[in-house]
Amino acid sequence: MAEAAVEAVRAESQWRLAWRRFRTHQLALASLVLCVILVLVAILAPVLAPYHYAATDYEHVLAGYGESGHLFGTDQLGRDVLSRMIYSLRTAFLVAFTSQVAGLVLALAIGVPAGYLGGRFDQILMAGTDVMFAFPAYLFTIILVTVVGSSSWAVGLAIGVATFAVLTRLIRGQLIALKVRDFVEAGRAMGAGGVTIACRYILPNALGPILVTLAFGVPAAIITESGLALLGLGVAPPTPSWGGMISEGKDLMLASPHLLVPTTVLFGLTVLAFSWVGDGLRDAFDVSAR
Amino acid sequence: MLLFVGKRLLRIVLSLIAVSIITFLLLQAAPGNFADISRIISGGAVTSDSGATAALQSRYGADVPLVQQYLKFMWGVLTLDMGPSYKYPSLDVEEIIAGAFPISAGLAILGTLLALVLAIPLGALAALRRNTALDHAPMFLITVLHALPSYLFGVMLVLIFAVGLGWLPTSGWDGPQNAILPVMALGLTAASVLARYVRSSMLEVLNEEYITAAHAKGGRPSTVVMRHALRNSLIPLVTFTGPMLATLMTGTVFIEWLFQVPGLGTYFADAARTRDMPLLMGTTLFFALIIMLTNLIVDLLYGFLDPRIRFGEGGWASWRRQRSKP
Amino acid sequence: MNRSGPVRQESGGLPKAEPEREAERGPLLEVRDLRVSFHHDGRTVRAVDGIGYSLGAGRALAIVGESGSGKTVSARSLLGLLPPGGVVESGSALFQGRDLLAMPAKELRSVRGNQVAMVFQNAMEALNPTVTLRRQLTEHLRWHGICGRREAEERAAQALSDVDIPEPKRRLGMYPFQLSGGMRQRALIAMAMVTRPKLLIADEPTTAVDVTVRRQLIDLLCRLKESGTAIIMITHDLGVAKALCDDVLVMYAGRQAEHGATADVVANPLHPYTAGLLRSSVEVGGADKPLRPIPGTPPDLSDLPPGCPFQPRCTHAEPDACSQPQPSRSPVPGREVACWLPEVGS
Repeated sequence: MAEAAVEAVRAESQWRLAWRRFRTHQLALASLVLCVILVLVAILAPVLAPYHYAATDYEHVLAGYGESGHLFGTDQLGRDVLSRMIYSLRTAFLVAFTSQVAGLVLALAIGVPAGYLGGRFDQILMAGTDVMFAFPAYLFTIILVTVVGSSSWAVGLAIGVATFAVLTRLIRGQLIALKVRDFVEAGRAMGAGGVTIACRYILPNALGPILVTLAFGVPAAIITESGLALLGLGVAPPTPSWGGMISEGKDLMLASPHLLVPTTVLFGLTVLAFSWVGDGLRDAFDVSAR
Repeated sequence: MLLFVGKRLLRIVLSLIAVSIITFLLLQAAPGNFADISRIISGGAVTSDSGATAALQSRYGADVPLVQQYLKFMWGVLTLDMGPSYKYPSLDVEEIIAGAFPISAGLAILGTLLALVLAIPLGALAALRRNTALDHAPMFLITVLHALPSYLFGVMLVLIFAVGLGWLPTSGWDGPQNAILPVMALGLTAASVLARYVRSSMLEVLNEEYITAAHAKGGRPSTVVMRHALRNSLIPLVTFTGPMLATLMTGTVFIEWLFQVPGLGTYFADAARTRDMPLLMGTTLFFALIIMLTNLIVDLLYGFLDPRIRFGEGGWASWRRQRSKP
Repeated sequence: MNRSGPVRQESGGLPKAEPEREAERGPLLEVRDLRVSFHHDGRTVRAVDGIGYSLGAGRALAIVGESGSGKTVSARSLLGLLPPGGVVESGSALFQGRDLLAMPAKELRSVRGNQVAMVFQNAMEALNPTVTLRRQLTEHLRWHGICGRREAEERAAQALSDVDIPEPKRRLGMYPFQLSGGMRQRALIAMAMVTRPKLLIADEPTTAVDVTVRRQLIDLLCRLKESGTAIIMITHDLGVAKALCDDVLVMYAGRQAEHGATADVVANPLHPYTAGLLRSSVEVGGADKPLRPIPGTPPDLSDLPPGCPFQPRCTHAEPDACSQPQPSRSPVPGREVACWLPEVGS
């Protein structure tokens, strides 16, 4: 019984340990700061952006860097590139976070019962998930987008549904591994029911790897959405997105590289920042406990 | 082994059927149909009365029951006569696929080769010179490359080589020079994935006792690495390269779009956007087939490379069971 | 030297060495004051701290100790096979007059696997699972330029039959996993013997196998010894040492605890650690006596007490005397022991 208590306590100190390890990872820490800044910028977009993203200015079409009060110039409709970049950041996060939440909800709904209950139930659920694995993720996303539409939320949802399979497998695996541990026995002995055990005992211990997957899921979703936007299947205009900006700027890039360069850099930085945070999280949770 | 292959082929067929049903149903649920969309796109020039769309409507239109539509299409798949595409009514779907697939596959194969040529020496060297500059520096670059999507990297390549330096064309498909940037984009992105696997696989192998034993027999370090370490660490690579090749073939969508290459990915995206049902169904099934076939070939190849699979107890069956364990 | 063709004699088909010529040149291997350290994360640990022995042709030496005693490290350092971070701090290892520890890498490589061969503990791990036995048993013959491919294959088949593996030609085409455990272990020895080395270093060859196979291996090694091969046997099992080896060197915490003829050491151990080992061993202690394990835990090499490292676990320990450094003394001719106790008389 004492072991069970120790194990439950270990879950909490596991977090502290993970945080301490994360702190030593300089790159991850710096990236985390950058991520926070980026999210803040996205939230404060209306305040920070000098112009509205759809505000056209036909007097100053395709202006270069720093011309006519536009830090990064304007595009072919006279819209300010910098403002569109910032609003696109916001779109990217909207899509990414929606997708991760949607994916998480689905993965929990399927993975927890599958892992905890096991048996035929598990087999059926996993067979279904395996079909998802067979489906090329991108293709499924594209098809889903044609069904659910192209608002930011819809695209986020589509991406979440198309990619929940990996997270489901992970959660199921965690459930299977953890449900035989002592502290679960202890909980059951104290009269806790299935759902309580799954949610209050097991899940908190499984959160480490889940968090890592989510951290990596953010840049993945941003990348997917932009990819879709490149093909005209992403978030619909006039909502700006990086993919859309690249799509439009591509044909004019020889003469007006300013349409692409700052966007590309910001895009790359965002993706890298979240990836490095994910790396740091993975290292932080990897060796501790278990 | 024949039994193994036979069972796999059966599973492939069943999966394809599942994929086709799911795709078909999803498309039915999708709002908007081809006729409406083409009308919107063409600004009214194409109406639902014009000859081509009328013919298509009769074949796939709303008045034909769903099941019949589906079965008709699947029959077309089996007989390799999937009918004309909505958007390109003068061409049959299978013709489009036959024409565009070699281009996509070609890019994918060249990209994979480039990736292998880069990743294997890089990863192996990083493992051999672990924790030195030769490990940290290239691996950092690999990490950056790995995080970036292929098309973003493609855009960067274009900005640098085509716009900045002017060495290569930005797009088009006229000659071999058009293939250089796309292959680079694909290859470098793939290399970033492979290099990490090579490195970790190599590290694992280098720790094995038989490597020490080979050194103990008096072998030159280079010989031990090449004949024992590299060989064994590359075998697991096969499991990654196969699906990666398949993914490249299907995922070249963005690269094709970026560089305006008339490959299969472009047609797929087009079809999705315009709800070109036959083309969309055809390409989706084709992609799924490619992925599954590639997986099968990879599994067989793995078996030939690792004698434990070929001769071991239980052979293929037990190994397959092993592989599918989570 | 003529290395071609087996010489059939009563000693199980193994070629006999020429003991007279060897004796003239002095001992085959002479190790003096060997010290090996490991550097890791800024800390340094002395894995081997001043051991020495000499070994002649056709003689066997057992290096005995618990895991972590430094026995494996001491052997591997002779052939330059230390893991990263391992450094030979000082000492010499004269093999046929040449110092292995001071040799340039290329020269050492020509000795390794050729005149000095090593047999590892776990045959399943020491053999490359994806390479045929034929390749693994012949490649070093070609590396050292001893013979061509065809003759190498003949020698490999001969080596396999020398270690009592039936149908050697057929086995050559097999992969390691296709052999039984015992056969694999013997194949490992064959792999080492195919170059007719003068010295064979066997690292716990009998640990990972069952009792019957152990018996076979010991017999095989005895035959090798009789045909003139010198053997260094690393083991934690005094019973095996007793069965095969003429001399024994007992190590503790990297240091030499006791050194002498096996029969003498086993009959009359001078170091308390050796006595403890004997008491805790079934084969040597005798089945009728109760087993008494040595109290305490194995030493932490980064945190050793001053003087004798065995002090915390020694039943005869006396703080004043044991905290003094204990050099190897020779209370009895032919015996060495690193403890003050025998001087005083236990």
